[in-house]
Amino acid sequence: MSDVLTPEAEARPAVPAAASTRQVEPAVEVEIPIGLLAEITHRCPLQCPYCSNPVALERPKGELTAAEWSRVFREAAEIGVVQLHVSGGEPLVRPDIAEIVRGARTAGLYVNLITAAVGLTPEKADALAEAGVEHVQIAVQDSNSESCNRITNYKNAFEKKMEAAKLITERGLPLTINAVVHRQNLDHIEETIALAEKLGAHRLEVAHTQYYGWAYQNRAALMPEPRQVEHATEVVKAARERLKGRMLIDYVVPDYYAKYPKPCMGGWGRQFLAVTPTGNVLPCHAAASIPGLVFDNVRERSLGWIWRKSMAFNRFRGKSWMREPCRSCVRAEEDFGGCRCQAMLLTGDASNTDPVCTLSPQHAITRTLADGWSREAVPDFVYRRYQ
Amino acid sequence: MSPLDAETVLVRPAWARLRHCDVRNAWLLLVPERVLFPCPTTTDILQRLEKPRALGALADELANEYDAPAGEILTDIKTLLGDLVEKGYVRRIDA
Repeated sequence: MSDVLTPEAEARPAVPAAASTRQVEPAVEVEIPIGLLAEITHRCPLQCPYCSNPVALERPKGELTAAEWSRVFREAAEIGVVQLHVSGGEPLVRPDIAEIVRGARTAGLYVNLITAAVGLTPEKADALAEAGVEHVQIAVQDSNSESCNRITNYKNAFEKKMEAAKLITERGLPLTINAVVHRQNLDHIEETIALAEKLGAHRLEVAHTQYYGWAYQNRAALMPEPRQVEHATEVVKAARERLKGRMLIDYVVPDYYAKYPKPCMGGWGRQFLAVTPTGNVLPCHAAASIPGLVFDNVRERSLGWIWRKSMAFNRFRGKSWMREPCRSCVRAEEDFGGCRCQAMLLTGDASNTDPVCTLSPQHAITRTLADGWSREAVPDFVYRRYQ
Repeated sequence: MSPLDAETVLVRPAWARLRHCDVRNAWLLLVPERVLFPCPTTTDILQRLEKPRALGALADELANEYDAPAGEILTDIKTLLGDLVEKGYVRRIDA
């Protein structure tokens, strides 16, 4: 038995996907998707400077209704999606959040709620549990109040999160603490692990900041020094061993200090869909950063059609789009060339090998940038907000 | 973490949801942020762990049904469930 989800895709002769074509027949066998990220709103009371939402946030007007989300969830289940990540922005700002969750459970999806949690009250927690939330992930931006509140730019965020964590565990729901780490909190990794233990978390996710969008704007404030990364990696390794059977620790290695890239999204268009607040469907939540991609919308097309035929999903499926060194690489079907958004951001072409890869001819870019950013004087944050 | 033995009582929490997926024609164990594909034997055991069970009693039950030595079955169960217990998807309630 395995939690590695890699059904094999048989490559067939490639059909190039033209940027101007909206409907594209898949050039490779289309797999059964596993997960769907539902960004039900981009509104959020917090202003974290590394938010994974796009810099151009979608306005509340035009957000999908709960009934529309229910239809999306039914269509997702029909094509094989089983895991749902209800996120935002902050999902709790939607007054119909319980109705949205209920729609997902009715469709049979496993409901993970990804929340900042500052708006959680006992009444909302009851409503969410009754509606069928199965797991709650709370983001904790640092292990102490002063730093957490500064990073989120929200008074008492830390205190509210501590209360919220209690509301979740009291209802018997498994809790994940999500700790996005960077230059300004990475030295508190021991305290963060201890905090997650104290809160009774089932799981701690230590995720190094991904440098796109907001985080890229704040890169000099966030990029850790190599010694910080080395220390944190050792601490996490020891804690994992110590906490076996009590708390699971997932650790997302920082891209810029890696040898090979991550198999981003488990491969483009292989396992995952992201739906934005207004219904655009993306192969990855950051995919809008790649020029030339055309995204279809659930108000115009079924999710099944989009999964199979949307130009954006077929653009980087299979191997035909790959260049060397990826195309003939033995790792091509392990990491799929890494992250398309990162290749775009750092090399100017999304079809290039992710420069994080040591085999990339442009690999020097990442180390040079990381070294440079992590040595700069720490600037003030550019906080995430509507612009 | 002490090793599993016949006296260990295990339960699958309600949030570790075992369901059949008609699209894949396969049993899935759905847990926070992950999907596991249990083999038929593990699926059978996970179904029986909906309520707390001592591993020894579970092995006896399976030994009767499958006409196999309970000792060997207990060893197999410990192997099959070890990783799930380590990750917390099956919980010890004696610890």
